Amino acid sequence: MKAILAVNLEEALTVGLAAALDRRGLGARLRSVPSPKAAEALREGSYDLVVIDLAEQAVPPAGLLPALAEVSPDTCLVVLAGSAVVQAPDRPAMFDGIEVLERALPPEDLSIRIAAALQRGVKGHLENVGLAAFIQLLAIEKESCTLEVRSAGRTGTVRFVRGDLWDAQVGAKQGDEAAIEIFGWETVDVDMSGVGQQARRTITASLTYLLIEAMRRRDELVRDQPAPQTAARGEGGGDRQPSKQVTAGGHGSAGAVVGALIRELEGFIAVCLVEAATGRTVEARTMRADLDLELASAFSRESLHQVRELIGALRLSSAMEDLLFTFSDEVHLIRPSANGFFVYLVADRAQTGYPQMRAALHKLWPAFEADALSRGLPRQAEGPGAAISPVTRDR
Amino acid sequence: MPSEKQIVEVIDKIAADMSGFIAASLVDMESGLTLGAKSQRSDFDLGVASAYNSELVKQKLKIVKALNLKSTLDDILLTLSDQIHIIKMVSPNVFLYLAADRESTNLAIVRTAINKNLAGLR
Repeated sequence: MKAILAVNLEEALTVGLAAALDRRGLGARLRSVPSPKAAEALREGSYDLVVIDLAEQAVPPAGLLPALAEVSPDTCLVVLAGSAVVQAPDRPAMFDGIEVLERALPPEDLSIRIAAALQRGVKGHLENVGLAAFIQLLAIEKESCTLEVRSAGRTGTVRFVRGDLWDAQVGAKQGDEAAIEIFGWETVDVDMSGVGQQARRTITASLTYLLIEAMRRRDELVRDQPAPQTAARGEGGGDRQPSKQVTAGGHGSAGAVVGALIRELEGFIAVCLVEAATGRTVEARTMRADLDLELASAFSRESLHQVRELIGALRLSSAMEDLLFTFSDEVHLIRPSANGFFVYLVADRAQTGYPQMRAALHKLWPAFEADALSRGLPRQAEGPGAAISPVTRDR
Repeated sequence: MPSEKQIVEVIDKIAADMSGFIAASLVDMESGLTLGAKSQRSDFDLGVASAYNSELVKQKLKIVKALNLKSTLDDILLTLSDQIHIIKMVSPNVFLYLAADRESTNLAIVRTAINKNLAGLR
């Protein structure tokens, strides 16, 4: 049985809400109090959720939210407000991490949203999860929650507000740097709880960038420690790339080019640089575990071939610039280079479009072409790369 | 399914709503056959283009299946140095193929003209 503290709710709404939750099979105990008594009630009993009705006010009574936060910082909050507050483009910062619902909604609809909030308030514990995939799931589901992440004796905290990465903390670090460190931990145990209140936003970079950057640094760390087989070959292994090539710029800077592309392009999902003649992948990164880039680039080669045939059959003198596939939720762009490579780029349609993708590729094109040339040496083939890890073909 | 005459009328409307129209056809993918077509240039072989584009779409749909994507294909855009070619899915088996001159139009204009008249092709 869930316990809900109803603050400042009209009696009719309290009764209607209780009945609607009951009909959804979520029998909840509702206690109704006026706002001056809310902090006291929260101190006396334990509640899974606090619902506050603002009535026609734009903000909660002064001091109410801090008082609740002081008593029980982790209790999930839902605010019922008039349409002006709900639809306001910029809500005051005090509403961060709080679900704001239109108070005029029928109890049936309110109960659905409140049931969802209750579900989110449930504390969960996960062991041995791949953190990156889990984090992306939270972002997609637009979750609000606090994660306590543990790995190899280290503990960090990550907060999400409506699917946005909001705050990260580990040791003395906070914000982007803390997120990058935590996301670099490979397998972790996670404790999940409600978002709490008044979390200040400390994250400035995009989630995609932070995840990729964490993976890149982890890979660099691994490369800096000589792997056994490399050591056996000795220092004379001329085909081994210097591990610090990423920041060096110019020759061999594929990691940097891809990193720049990720920063440049909102909604980045995946990219690969492929040698057109052989189909060999020179460089590939994906944010989606289930996207088989090897397969996608093999098919892309065929598409390019078909386009060339079409141009020939139509006896056009035109040169191909690029080929764009627009799906219901994604856009895939194929762009051939003059020196026998092509780039296959996938992005989220809701966050970006053809002009942005073209502009990002255009800007980084010289670097891509230089990169393709500098890395155009035969390398041993590998299986499809693990999700979200940079698949650099370095050995 | 509209008749060939109706299809050509819709293509005429699209051509009137945009600049740089070169040619367009409505293609049945299963057969690769053209259901209706109109060309502004005598040297632009729409039959050949339709057949090649059917293959391009078919192949992309195969990819979608192989990659296990949940998405549906909306359109394909081929940008050449002097032309844009757009393939707009009208139904799962039928697409509109349109070629336009890049000098005198842009993608936004073409897409708007197509979307405005798309209902007449279904």
